[in-house]
Amino acid sequence: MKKQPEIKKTRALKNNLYCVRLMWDISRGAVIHAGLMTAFNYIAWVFYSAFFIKYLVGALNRADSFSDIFRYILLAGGFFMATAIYYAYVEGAYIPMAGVKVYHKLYRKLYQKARNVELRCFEDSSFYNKYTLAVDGANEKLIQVIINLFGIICGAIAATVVFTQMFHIDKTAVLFVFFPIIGNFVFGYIYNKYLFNRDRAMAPYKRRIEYVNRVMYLADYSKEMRLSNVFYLMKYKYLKAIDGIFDVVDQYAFKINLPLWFRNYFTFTIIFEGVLLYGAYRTIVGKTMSLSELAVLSSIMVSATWILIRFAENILESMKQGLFIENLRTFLEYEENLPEDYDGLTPEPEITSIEFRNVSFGYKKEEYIIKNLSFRIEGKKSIALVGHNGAGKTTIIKLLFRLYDPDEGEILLNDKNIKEYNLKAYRSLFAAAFQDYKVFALSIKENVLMRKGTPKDDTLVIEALKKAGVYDKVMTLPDGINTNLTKEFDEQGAQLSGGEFQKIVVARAFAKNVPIKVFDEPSSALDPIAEYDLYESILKDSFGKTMIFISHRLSSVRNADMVYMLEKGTIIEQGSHIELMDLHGAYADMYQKQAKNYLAVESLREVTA
Amino acid sequence: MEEQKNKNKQSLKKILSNNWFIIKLSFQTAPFFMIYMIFEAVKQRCLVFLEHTYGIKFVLEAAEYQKPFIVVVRFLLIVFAAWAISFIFSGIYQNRVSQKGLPKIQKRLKELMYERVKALDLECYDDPTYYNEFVLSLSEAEKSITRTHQIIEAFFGGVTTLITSGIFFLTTDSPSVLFVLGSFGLTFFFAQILNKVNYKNRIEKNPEERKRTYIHRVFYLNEYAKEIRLNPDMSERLYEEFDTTNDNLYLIEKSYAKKRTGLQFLVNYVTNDFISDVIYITYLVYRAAIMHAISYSSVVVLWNSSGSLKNSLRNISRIFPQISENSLYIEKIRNFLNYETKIISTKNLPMPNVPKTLEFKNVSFGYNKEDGNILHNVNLIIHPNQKIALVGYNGAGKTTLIKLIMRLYDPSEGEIRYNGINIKDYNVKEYRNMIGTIFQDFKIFAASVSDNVILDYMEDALKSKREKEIRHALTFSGFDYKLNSLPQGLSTELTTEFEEDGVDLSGGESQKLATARAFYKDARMVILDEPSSALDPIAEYQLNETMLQAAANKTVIFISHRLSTTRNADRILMLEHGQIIEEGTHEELLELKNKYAAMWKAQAGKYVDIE
Repeated sequence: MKKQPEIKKTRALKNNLYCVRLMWDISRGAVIHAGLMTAFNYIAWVFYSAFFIKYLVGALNRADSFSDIFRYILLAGGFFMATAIYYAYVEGAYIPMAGVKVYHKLYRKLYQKARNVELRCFEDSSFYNKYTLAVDGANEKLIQVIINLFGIICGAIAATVVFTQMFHIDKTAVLFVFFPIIGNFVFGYIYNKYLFNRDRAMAPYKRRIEYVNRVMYLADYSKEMRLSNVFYLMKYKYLKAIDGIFDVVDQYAFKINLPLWFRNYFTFTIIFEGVLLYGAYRTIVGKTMSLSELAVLSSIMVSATWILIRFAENILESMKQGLFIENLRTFLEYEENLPEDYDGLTPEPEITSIEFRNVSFGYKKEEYIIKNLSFRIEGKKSIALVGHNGAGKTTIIKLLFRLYDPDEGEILLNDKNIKEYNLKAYRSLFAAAFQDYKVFALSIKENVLMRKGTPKDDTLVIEALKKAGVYDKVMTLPDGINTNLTKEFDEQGAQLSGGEFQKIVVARAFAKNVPIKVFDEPSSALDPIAEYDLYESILKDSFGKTMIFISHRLSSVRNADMVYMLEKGTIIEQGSHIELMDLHGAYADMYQKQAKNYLAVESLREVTA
Repeated sequence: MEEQKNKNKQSLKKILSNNWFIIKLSFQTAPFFMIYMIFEAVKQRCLVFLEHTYGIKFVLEAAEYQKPFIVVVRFLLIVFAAWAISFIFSGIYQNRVSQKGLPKIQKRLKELMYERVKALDLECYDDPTYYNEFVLSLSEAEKSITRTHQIIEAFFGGVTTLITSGIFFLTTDSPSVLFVLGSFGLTFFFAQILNKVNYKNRIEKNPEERKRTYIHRVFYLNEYAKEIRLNPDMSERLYEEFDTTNDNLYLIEKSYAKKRTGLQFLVNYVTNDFISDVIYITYLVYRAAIMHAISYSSVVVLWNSSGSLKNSLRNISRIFPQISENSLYIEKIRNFLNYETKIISTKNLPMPNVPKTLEFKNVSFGYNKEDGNILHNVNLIIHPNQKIALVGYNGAGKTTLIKLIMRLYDPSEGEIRYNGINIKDYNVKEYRNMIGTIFQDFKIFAASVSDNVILDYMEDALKSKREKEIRHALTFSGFDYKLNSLPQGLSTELTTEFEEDGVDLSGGESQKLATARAFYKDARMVILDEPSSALDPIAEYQLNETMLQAAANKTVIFISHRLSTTRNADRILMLEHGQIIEEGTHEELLELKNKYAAMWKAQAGKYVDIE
């Protein structure tokens, strides 16, 4: 038990050093200026509260000439005016400018990492949480870490100087310093621990309150809220959460106040009144302390207390930051299992075969989505994957794209394990349209090309949009194919319907001249006519290419060269549509069920009866 | 600039009345907490003055004028004791009174607001400006309370320090006050200028920062991760955008560098430290050494506490801008609370118990004037227990039509009648309760399975009484097999929002659960808004069968893209451009050989020609 926090502390120290190194690489100036600024701050503080007062009261007592004192004041003023000019420059000019640079360089680094880690990281919630925490406001947090670190160093030096001064005046008085140390580091520690525990105990209730709030304002819930009484359920949950918070408050009310009282009393009252009492005794009764020494002592004691408090705060802050740094570091130092810049052979553009050999895979351990799957596709064929929800169709596509590596078995392209290829070159063999598409806040043209376009690309883009059946719509927009999508940062940006967005995404696959095209339910948001047209286009476009598609609607599957019926991660039937219908198995059953509705076998009345 | 202008536009009366609204609410809900809060603010500042200013002067002068030690002891013991008691009070305030008082006030305001949310017309969600204001007012509600309380504390604390330190300065050395006032006035003046410069800077950076946030989101959200990986050129394209944005921001900051440096120097040094550490101290030394007007102890104490007097002035001077800003947010909250629901019933007629005829009479409707009408002059009669299908292309107005039926909106022209009476005349809640709807975009709530079916608050005892009905509804919708696999059956918490062992349902399972709601409700009219989009063909088929079985004595309205789902309907309505263009049974419409027939062919053609 005792060793654990110690290990943590060395790790915390290392983490802080890591931050300094990181920041040093990004901007040396920022590190140096942060250090100088903190130092000047403490110098001014210690100087005026200890040395200046000491000189002043001494000079007054000695009845030095006014001009001498004035000269001293001006001298000090001159020095600190110089530092103030420096300070104003750093704060007014340097920090805002360096802030942009730090943001730029740091986030470039983070984005680079984010795009290089394997997709799995995004789906692993513990990794993703760490990533989110690391990335959120990382630039400001990083600067804070540095400033805080200098705060600890300068605070320690300042405290030593101030205590030495106190010691010079009176050897005993310095003992009073132990009170704020105990107050802050013993009682303050206990208090913070209770506070932390209380917050943790309250957190689930606070999350409930936030959830209810969200349900109340999100448009997604608005209809249910009006058409059902779920409002009362939510209100009840809210009231329960408030009761929960009250219970936690009661539970902690007494025990949390005890260390708080001691912390306050030790940190402020005892040293403050104690030093005054002691100093007054030495001056009035013992006559061993001069008035000026008493005045200086009272002034030093105030700053000593605050320097210590600040010091304790800095240390506490540094502990808190430790978590952020830990997350940042874990993320940046993460070693990719499947790095996006994975190097290897350049694949032949002529596809002769794709093969899955005994492939097993699961997103979570022990939960296989794909089990011992084997199949071989000859090049330039059209392939349909069909099956129930959760049968593993989309997972197969993801494995094929090498977004994941199989847990067991291997995937081969042209009879070579796909792991042997350069990942970028390998992926560039494919073009894909997914059902969970995303459009970017860029022009339609760039959204189709998925890269920076030149005027030369215009015909390519227009052709693709025509094939996807959305060209007419695009031409009604003010800037045609150069219209920006979404209103994200263009007030004039086009907000299209779900179906239109989907068509633009499908156009991506048409615009790419690649040997393998993949369509994963490309028509989910389309109406029947549009869907029909789209499948015609897809079939026409994929002539002479390898084409893989997933569809719920079996009528669109019929023209595929090969149909694979999947169930629970394995292929249960395979063959052409006609062969599978002759099998009278699961595929035929599914097909007939769908077809039956179109064939008017039973009327509604018969079903109801 | 817009905000700045608005701020100036608010009248003083409005500002005060808005802040007063929260103050009143706070005092009414948690009077003890509020009084305690003021007491704490005053007490704390009094004690700090007693210790830091008066106390040090008292001790130093006792030494300077060689007063008996016992006087000092007596005084300091009082201070010791005062703090000891004060910290007890502070602890109780900090960790008990405020911990309970604040949530209580928040709860009161939230309850008021939630009641309004419930009654808010759905059209408010369609109007982006109104919706933004609404979200803002909800999210600002708690902060507005905290802000108001901070202002109260700052006000009472500031005034206390102003009075105590002010009297001290006036009695010890009245001209000193001029230095404090001068320093405060100048700082205030230059800080105003600096604020304006910073505000302008922020406005200028705004569009670039929005761009940066967007790029951030793309690299950060899981949704984009796949696209980024499969299209490596895309990230290069975004990097380019990111670089330009940052370069622009850098140039903006650079253009402000000189102005800001100068102002920072004025605000932080010239008007502050320079006045106190050079001018004021010279004056004090002069008063003490040459004029002998004040004691040495006074020099130290006056110099040390000029800061706190100045701070109290600054805190008080900040109150007006603070209440003005606070008022802007409270204004939004009050506007929201004063919203008058448009969809209400003046007659509150009770609903008939059995299904009746629903009739559209010349109904036209548009969400807003600019976009024009979505529905044009629709006439329609739906007889009790009829099965009606609405088909048509995307954007034909199908969903809008059912929203009107549910009275989520009222028609712009014409009227909808139920049992011959305008639906506006029925009690809104009862009317809506008659309809069970299964939405395309249904939601699963972070609550138990049974709560998700009931969608209402129900005591546990009643819940167990209704268990049979809940199970029945779940069985009908095909959720029973999943229910049997759940560890705690009906009490299983759904979603992992709060419960580690909560269950996340798949799309198909969620849909079945949502369907059970309509069964449980025993509605007289069931509306299915593309209920099968998340289901695979077999599951869809099963759902249709059970749906029709259960709905024999209900009116059913289907919306579907899949014509196979709708073909068995008693009547099919084909919509185009907000009008019913074809109407009849499946066979009748096929014979028409028009739009419906074309659509049917496109979808069914391939299935049909095989046989």
